[in-house]
Amino acid sequence: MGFYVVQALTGLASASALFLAAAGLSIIFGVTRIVNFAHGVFYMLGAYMAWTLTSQFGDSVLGFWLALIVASLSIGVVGLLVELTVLRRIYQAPELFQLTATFGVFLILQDVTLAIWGPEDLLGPRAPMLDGSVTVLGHPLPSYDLALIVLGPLVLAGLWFLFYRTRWGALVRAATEDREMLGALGVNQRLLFSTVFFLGTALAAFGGAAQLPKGGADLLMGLNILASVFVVVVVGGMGSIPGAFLAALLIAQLNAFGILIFPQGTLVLMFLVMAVVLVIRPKGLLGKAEGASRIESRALIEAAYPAPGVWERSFWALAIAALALLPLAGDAFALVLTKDILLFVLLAASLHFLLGPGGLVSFGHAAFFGCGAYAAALLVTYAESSMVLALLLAPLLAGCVAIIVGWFCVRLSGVYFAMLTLAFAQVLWSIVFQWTSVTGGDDGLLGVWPDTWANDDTVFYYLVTVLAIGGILLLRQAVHSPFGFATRAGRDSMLRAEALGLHVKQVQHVAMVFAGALAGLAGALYAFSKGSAFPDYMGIEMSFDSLIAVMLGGVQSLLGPLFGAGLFSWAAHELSTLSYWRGILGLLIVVLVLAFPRGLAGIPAAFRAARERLA
Amino acid sequence: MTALLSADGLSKHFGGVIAVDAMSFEMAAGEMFAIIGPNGAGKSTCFNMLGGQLKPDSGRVSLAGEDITGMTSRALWGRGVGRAFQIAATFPSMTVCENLQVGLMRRYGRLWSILRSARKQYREEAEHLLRLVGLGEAADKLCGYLSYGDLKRVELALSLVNEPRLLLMDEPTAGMAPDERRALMDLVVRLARERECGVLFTEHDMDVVFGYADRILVMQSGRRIAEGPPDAIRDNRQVQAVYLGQDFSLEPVPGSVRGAA
Ligand SMILES: Nc1ncnc2c1ncn2[C@@H]1O[C@H](COP(=O)(O)OP(=O)(O)OP(=O)(O)O)[C@@H](O)[C@H]1O
Ligand SMILES: [Mg+2]
Repeated sequence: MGFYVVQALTGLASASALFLAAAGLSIIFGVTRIVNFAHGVFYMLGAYMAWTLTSQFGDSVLGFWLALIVASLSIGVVGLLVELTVLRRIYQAPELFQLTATFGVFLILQDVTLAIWGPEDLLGPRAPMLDGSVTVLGHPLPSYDLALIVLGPLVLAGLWFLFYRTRWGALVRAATEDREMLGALGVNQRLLFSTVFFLGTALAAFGGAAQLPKGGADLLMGLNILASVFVVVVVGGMGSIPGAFLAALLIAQLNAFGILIFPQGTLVLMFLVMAVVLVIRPKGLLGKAEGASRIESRALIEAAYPAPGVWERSFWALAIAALALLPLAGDAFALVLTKDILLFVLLAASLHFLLGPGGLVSFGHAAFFGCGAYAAALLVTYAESSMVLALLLAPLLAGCVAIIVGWFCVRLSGVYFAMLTLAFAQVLWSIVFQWTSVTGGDDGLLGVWPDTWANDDTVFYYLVTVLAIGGILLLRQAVHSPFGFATRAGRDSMLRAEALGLHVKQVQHVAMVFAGALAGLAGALYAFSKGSAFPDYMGIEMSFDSLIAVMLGGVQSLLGPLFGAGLFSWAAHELSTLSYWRGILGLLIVVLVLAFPRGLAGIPAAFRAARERLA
Repeated sequence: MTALLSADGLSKHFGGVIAVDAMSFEMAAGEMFAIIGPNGAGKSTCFNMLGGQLKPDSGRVSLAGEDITGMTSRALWGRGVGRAFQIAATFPSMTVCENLQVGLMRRYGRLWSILRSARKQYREEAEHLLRLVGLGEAADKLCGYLSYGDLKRVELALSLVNEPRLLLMDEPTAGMAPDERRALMDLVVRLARERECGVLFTEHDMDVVFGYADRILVMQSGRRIAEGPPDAIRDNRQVQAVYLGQDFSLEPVPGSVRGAA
């Protein structure tokens, strides 16, 4: 009995740190409507900053707690700088853009942390007076946990006071409920947004700082907390602070007890809970229905995908000719690189079909890529299937997974859709990662080589090229097909599409299966190309990389995924020898997004517009 | 003879606001039937319950004798109900012609192909419909760039794709100049008479309402306060009181384009 009580108390303690971070994200989303991917990095920075300050001043009780608070406030200032330099310029931009830009900020700050504090994990300091433990029903509980348990409700009360007893708080609530009205009231929006961002990041930093004595600081904590924080915010309902509190309690308890029943599966449990909540309550526990759709009609006009013109056709002819002639150059490495790029382009193009024509922001598209890879690898390993059969079946299997995942996901929309796709991807990843006896777990499945007839580098290169280009062209044709039009119709106006007899959710479901199957094809080819399948193939990073590729290229152009994925793979390849290459990539992303809000494919149009302005 | 459309005790409330309160009426095929009322009277809420965008809290709707209460707009489309929204809903990223082609491809069950090229499908039929509503010239313009009046015309053309027997039109001529309004309403009346199609519409422009409706129902605060032919409504003291008391701007004011938003 005592053991369970202590377990529950530990759960309450971790709920506090989780709540602090989640509350910050939720407030920022509520007011600015930005889903801030950089949030995790502020949490991490809070911990690092607190580590530095407590090592100087943390010996007295007052010094320790002051150090935590000063650390949080200083990171809040960093957040403020980010708001002023980056976010302020993209409040009106399409959602996807905001996601990309904040993810770029994440990558930059991640590497800044690495540069300042180095790669080693830092051990948390002891909190003065709280470094012992108390005995609860015969079981020890760290005293610091008690402090954390108090901290969560204390901050909740503080936020309540701020929101319901101050004029600023009233404005924040008004902005969360109705953004248009706020403009009408003549409120200084810039100031409000900046202060909200400051508070949100300071809260995240405080969350990171507060858990420092428990968990220390490391470079992965930003990405790790991000997943949990998103789950908490989505389960609680975007923009709802009490919802975030409730969800943080729920998730933390789930972790505390889940670890006893299902030691490695807490991540899966967490995402499963989120999936269940979202299926029952599509806006989270305490979330309110959002008003109008976020997609502006201006953005839609740009996503018109006109029929291919002369220059697009010539581009394709040239590209295909170049790919066909490449083996003559006799550069074996160029073949390998081109193969990788082509498969990444196919993955990006299949994601583009969802993001662009479908208007469906999927955060977990790599799941289908990974399913294709594992389907092929499992078929080869356990059924001694030939490569041809595996390549035929893998996309079908990935499509079948997409049937199941899609059935749940298309019930939701916007951020909730995105989070549920991410949840499913994480669940699939965990299955692959943990079912070691079948999938090999972390070690992956090896020995997935092409059939003998295709084992020659050049032959396999041609096989990949033909299938990848075929898949990319099929996706492109699909955009111009009746089905592509139906997909766009559902994105443009759900109301009109339904009134014209279209079953929008069904169309979206089929679009997910179609895109999933092609991602599966890319994955299967990738497995044969590398001779292996690893859990990474369906990891969060892979999903995000493909998202970034699509957004770099520009959602509103069919050539976008080509350029974006091409640039991304090339940059990843060229930069990966540098120690801060992720940060450089992040900087590249932020600069590109700010300079060319329509992506690479929009650069010609941007130059035309600039010339016209000058003339 | 059963009525084309009949509503019986339809009600809808949003939180504390009773938007529509026990509305009942019937209309016949080929009839032009107008619902009018000041802003916030509950007209759009009525249309949305009849058109499948909102589920009524209580009450019954039937279409030619069939109970259609709470059906989705998709299901109603299959039963021949066409819809124009108060805020025009079209596909802004597509050209006017492509908007109609989507409707036509749906109608002929051709939406699932991924190998055909959509731009070639039913192009002529789409252009024919566009000429009918006076948009022949705009076929290749993106819908997102059209004027509001033209969007309303696209909506009408879209509702005609399925050869409807009932048209639900929430402010079909909003944003048009007076002669454009007349042209559009002339077309609607002709369709109603020739195709025996019932038209339920609302308008803030009283010239349109009194010039084209066979019967008028007046709503205020979710309730019916009068129903009858235009002449009777014009002379009804209660209706006059509602309009004078509530919203002066509905009276034609020289120089103003339109009475109310
Ligand atoms: N989705 C909603 N949520 C809450 N209240 C609503 C909603 N839709 C309508 N209402 C309220 O219901 C009432 C009726 O609105 P409705 O749009 O039906 O009026 P209307 O007669 O069409 O007005 P208008 O002439 O301005 O178009 C109004 O008080 C409105 O504020
Ligand atoms: Mg209305």
